[in-house]
Amino acid sequence: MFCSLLVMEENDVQDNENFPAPSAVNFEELYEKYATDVLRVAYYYLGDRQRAEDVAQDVFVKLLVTRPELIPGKEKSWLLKVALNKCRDLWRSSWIRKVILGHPSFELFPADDEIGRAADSISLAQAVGKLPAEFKEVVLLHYYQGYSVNEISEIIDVAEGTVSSRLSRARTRMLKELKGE
Amino acid sequence: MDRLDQLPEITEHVLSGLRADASLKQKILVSAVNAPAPSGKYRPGTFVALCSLSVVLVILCLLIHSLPVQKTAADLQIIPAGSRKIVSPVNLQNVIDQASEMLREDRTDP
Repeated sequence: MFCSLLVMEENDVQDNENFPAPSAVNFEELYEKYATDVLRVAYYYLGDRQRAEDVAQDVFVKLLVTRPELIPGKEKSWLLKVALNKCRDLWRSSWIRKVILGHPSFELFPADDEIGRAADSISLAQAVGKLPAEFKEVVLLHYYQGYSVNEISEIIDVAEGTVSSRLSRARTRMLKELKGE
Repeated sequence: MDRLDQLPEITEHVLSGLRADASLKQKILVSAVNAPAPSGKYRPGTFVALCSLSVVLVILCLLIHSLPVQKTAADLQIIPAGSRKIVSPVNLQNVIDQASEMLREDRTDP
């Protein structure tokens, strides 16, 4: 088993050497296209702006340093997958729970001309922010980012049935939350 | 739960001020420059070195354990099997002392 791990690691190195590294233009392009979405998904997950920015920073640093083989059209999936993994790690640590629990309200960041319209949407956004982590992931990926159940199962590495179940249970929970139960 | 379908628009309203800006990009670029580059080749790590050292130590212990080591008494001599010449394990000094004592006893007897 130890020898097979050695062989696998060497093969990964060789595979990466056969593909051209993402150029600086790619980073700029990916940042302009997807960085805000990554940041907002992380914020929904963690409820803390500083931590969300840290996650977004880590994701794009990893993109620059590791130079992964990104399938064209799947770059955003990779970015969100890495972001959710990092959010999950942060969420599990005890101190971040204390920080979140100490801030029950979901802080809004509306632009100046959006303040009036934002007031009508606060309840739904807050309800999403209050969901358990596993429900939040599927809701954000499906309703906010528009991914299908199949795509979500690939991003977060769970079965499609599990994704569907979590979406259903998340909807039920949000309905209760919005009704004030 | 039709309102969930409006989550993108709602997010744009409630989080429109939360955007990835130039300052975040700058932080990313600085961090990437300072981050250690991932190693391209596999190198034997500490784990392999420790495993090799432990194997060497085990072999060394087995070798030392298998060496013939026998303790002998102070005035006991080892007599190999098949030897024609047998050296008596008697201490000569003891013989002299015993003889002297016997002579003394003969002189003192009436």
